[in-house]
Amino acid sequence: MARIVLAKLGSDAHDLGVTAVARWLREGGHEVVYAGLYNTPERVAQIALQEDADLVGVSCLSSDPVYATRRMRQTLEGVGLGRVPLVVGGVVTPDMKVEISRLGVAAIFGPGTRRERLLESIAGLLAATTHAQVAADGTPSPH
Amino acid sequence: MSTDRLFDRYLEGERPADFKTLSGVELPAFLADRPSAAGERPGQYPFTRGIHAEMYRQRLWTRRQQSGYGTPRESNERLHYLLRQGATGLNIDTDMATKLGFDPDHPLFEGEVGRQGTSIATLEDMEQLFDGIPLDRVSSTLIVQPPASAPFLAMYLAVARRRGIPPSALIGTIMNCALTQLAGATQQAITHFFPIDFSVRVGLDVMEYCTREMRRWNIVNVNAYNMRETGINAIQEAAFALSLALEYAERLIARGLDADAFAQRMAFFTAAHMDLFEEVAKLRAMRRIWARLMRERLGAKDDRSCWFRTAIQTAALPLTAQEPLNNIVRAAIQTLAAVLGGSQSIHTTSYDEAYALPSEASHRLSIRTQQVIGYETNVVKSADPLGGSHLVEWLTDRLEADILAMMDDIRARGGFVSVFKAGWVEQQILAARFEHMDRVESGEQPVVGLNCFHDEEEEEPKMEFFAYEQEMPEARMRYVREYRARRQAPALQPALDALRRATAAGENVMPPVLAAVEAGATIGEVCRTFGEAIGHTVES
Repeated sequence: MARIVLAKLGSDAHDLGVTAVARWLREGGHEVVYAGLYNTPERVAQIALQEDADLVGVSCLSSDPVYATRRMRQTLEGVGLGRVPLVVGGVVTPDMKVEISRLGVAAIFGPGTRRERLLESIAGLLAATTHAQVAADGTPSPH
Repeated sequence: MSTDRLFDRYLEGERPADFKTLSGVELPAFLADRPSAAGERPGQYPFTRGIHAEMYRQRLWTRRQQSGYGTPRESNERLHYLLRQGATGLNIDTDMATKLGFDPDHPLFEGEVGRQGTSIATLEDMEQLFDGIPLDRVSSTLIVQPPASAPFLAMYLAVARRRGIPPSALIGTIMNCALTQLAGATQQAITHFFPIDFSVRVGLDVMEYCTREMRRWNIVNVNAYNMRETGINAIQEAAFALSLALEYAERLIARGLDADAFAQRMAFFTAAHMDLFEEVAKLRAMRRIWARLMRERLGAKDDRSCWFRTAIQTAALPLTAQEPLNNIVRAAIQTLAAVLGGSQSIHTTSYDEAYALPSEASHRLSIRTQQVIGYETNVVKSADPLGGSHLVEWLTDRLEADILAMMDDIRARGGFVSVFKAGWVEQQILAARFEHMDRVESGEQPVVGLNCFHDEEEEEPKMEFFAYEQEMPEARMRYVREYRARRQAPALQPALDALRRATAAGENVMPPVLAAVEAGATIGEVCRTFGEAIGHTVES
């Protein structure tokens, strides 16, 4: 299906959510590259480049999700991956959700997100990017 | 669920889907046999019924809410607030940079400094954090693991020394557990920055130093709680923590210390989950097992060496982001379990835990929860009030047997440190966390307001969450750079060189760490010196 890079950013090591999401996505037929803990946005962007990622997901619990998302978004744009959808998972207060949504994030998955909703949402995002790429290039995306 | 179906269900009989405890123990409908603990008394070996004869009749548990955020000055204000509300002990949480032994200007912690706890880098910081707190009259738990526990404790000692308080008069605890502090996450969290063997060694250095110099201080707090939060059950929680504590004790004896010199200063940090009777039974079983291990295996003569003393935090894993007010009820029941189980100190987790660090209001509510139980319910007026209950005694025996069987298995595999390094603990944790998630996802494990009885149309109440000063991480970064530039520290480089040599030579690191801290070293500089001494560098 698609190739998805997931990572924890910075020093926040709360990885219950991201490891569960990685498993769900794998079981949903996706190829998941989980970059583990203690990543800088630069490292995640490099991995996304190398792996030719269709989607990037970062997980935040005790860190600042607004700050982390902004840095991740800018870094992806910096390496030419601005069109790759970025999704954020973790503990996000309603106020933060509003701010993060403004940063060009494709989806935010909070606590209690169910497996089916996550898989449907990811499938929708991937279909939308494929469609957009077809329209822009005139050729279908390789994935 | 439609109301029609609900009515049907009530008619059929509304009942539990199964009769198992959270750890999977099948409960009988009732028990008629004689409870086995008949003859055991609170305050008597093996202390199943409590470590003191009178328990809370003589002294309530310590109300010890974790706190820490932002700058040391901000955290100090919260500490004073908590004490004014009736906290009777302090529980200092540090941010990840501090815990992992880095200064706030390290790039990995960009945007995160002071967010998961308070940011401490210098002796000045430590002085500010404890400003106005009498260190010989208020006990503090310092939540830091090795190797950063060494410079952190050294700074605490240096603050005391400047105030004229000798180490032997200090009361409190250094968590100081190399394996369990970050065990809520995967193995990478524990192996990424320092090799496990080195962290264990520094932890033992700190324990040995405290045993010799700080007779009222707890030398380690084995963090069973953080392991439990992954989704492992009560049996695993107890077996993991007791196995590791036993191994620490054996290693201290191998260093030439007598069990009676240090065992009474070892302590635990355990969870109080939702399964009330199982949690009480777990604590009773842990007390009995620990007492027997200390006396029968390690030859401790002093009764105090056989005391299983534990701080408790109410479990956050069963708390929900949905309908967060339900968490107040959960925390109250969990706090009651901790009290009925005979805990020495309690942190009641805040109802807003799923979103943020506690606000002043939610911190106060946690303290009030404990005060209501302590002052209004009368459950404190007789020791071990559930002792003799058929169910609780039966469960205590059953959990004891299951915990001992798992401890034997860990021992047969080479001991806890060894199975941890081999990845066995990580496998157990991952299996448990996925099973827990699947059970919640499928509804097999009911969580009220999440997978059952959740009203999709009901709007969530508007909550005020704790929010940080946006400038704080940046300010801390500037501070530590400015500190390094302005300090007059001619003794610093020789002290760090001496620390490097002592670390490489395998000597106890505490004396040279103390000297380095007195000479002006930051926590990051001390830990970087550790890394240089053992030839370990971290990719960043």
